[in-house]
Amino acid sequence: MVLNLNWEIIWVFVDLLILFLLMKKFLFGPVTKLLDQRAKGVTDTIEQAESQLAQAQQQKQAYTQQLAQARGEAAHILDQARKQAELNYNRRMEEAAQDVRRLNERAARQRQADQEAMLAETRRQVAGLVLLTTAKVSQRTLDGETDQAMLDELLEEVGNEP
Amino acid sequence: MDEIQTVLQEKLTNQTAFEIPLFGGIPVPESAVVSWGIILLLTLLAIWLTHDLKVKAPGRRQMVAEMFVGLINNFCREILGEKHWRTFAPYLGTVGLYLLLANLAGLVGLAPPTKDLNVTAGLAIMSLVLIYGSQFRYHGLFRGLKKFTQPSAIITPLNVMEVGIRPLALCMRLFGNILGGFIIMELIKAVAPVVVPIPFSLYFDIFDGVLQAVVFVFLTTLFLSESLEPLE
Repeated sequence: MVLNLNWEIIWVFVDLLILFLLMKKFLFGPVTKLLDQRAKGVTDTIEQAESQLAQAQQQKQAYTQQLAQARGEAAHILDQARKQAELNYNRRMEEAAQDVRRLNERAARQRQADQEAMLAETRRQVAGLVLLTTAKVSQRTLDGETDQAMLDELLEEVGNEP
Repeated sequence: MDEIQTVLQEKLTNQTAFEIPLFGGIPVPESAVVSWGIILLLTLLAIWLTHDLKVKAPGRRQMVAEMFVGLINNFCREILGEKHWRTFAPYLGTVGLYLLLANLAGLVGLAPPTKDLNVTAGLAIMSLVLIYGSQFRYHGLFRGLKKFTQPSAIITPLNVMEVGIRPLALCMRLFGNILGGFIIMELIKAVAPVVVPIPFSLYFDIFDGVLQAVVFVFLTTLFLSESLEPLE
């Protein structure tokens, strides 16, 4: 008989169920689990990489910002220092100029005083000389306040004439 | 001619391999014994292929196991969807493996178990239970019944008839193909036992065997996906 359909069909159910359980236990179960694990691993790795990349970019931005800030500060400090130096320099120059002016003035005054003193001395000596000469000339001694006053008057006239 | 007929009759009869001496003798058909061989072979193969699995740097054996399981899983995921494929992939894969080896058993001189009507009928009944069992399991009794009126009430009789037609078609397609191939191969072997059977064997044993295994699993999965589809 070719078309024999009978109770022996039970063997098929039993065999196939046994095979199903065995295959699930030894082939499909472990391999599917492994494939899931691998897929999860890949997803995790990608996520991790993405988060790290984002973090790195954030850090880079922060560093750039900090660098810019530091650069700005440095420029500011340098600028300030330059201004300060310039200010100091100007003040020193001013002081020096003042000193020079003062010294010059003092020297000028001194010179004038010396000149005046010398002039007075010369006048006095000349007066003495004139007095002496006149005394000699008049063969008499000139003394007394009148003579002196006369001499002074004479000298005044001489001094005033150019 | 009579001689060939006798030989063929002899070959086509489903032999009883032996009897288990319990309860007055339980006969074990030849197909069951070959099935046991297939079970043993597949189990040993599975254990050998998967005995030390590594997530990273898999070996060549593991690659084979991964490739096959991945193929079945992706096939089921595509047809059944993300929600259900994990439930059904192992069973469908098992049926596929069993049918593949059962249909190819002729190559090593064994009688293919799938030329026994009991085997194909058994497989078809299991598919039937799987298909309509899941329909009621996932939709509930009332909505499971309502599924028969989908997509339109007018085809309800057709849907009900399909409960019988589908397994019958699955069973007979497989049985007919394998039996036909087997008969033709036996005839060729009786007429020209040397060299000539080789090209025919390539078609009737290998090509048709693989094709029928794929068709059986494919149709079962397809019917299953129809049953699992949500109600409109």
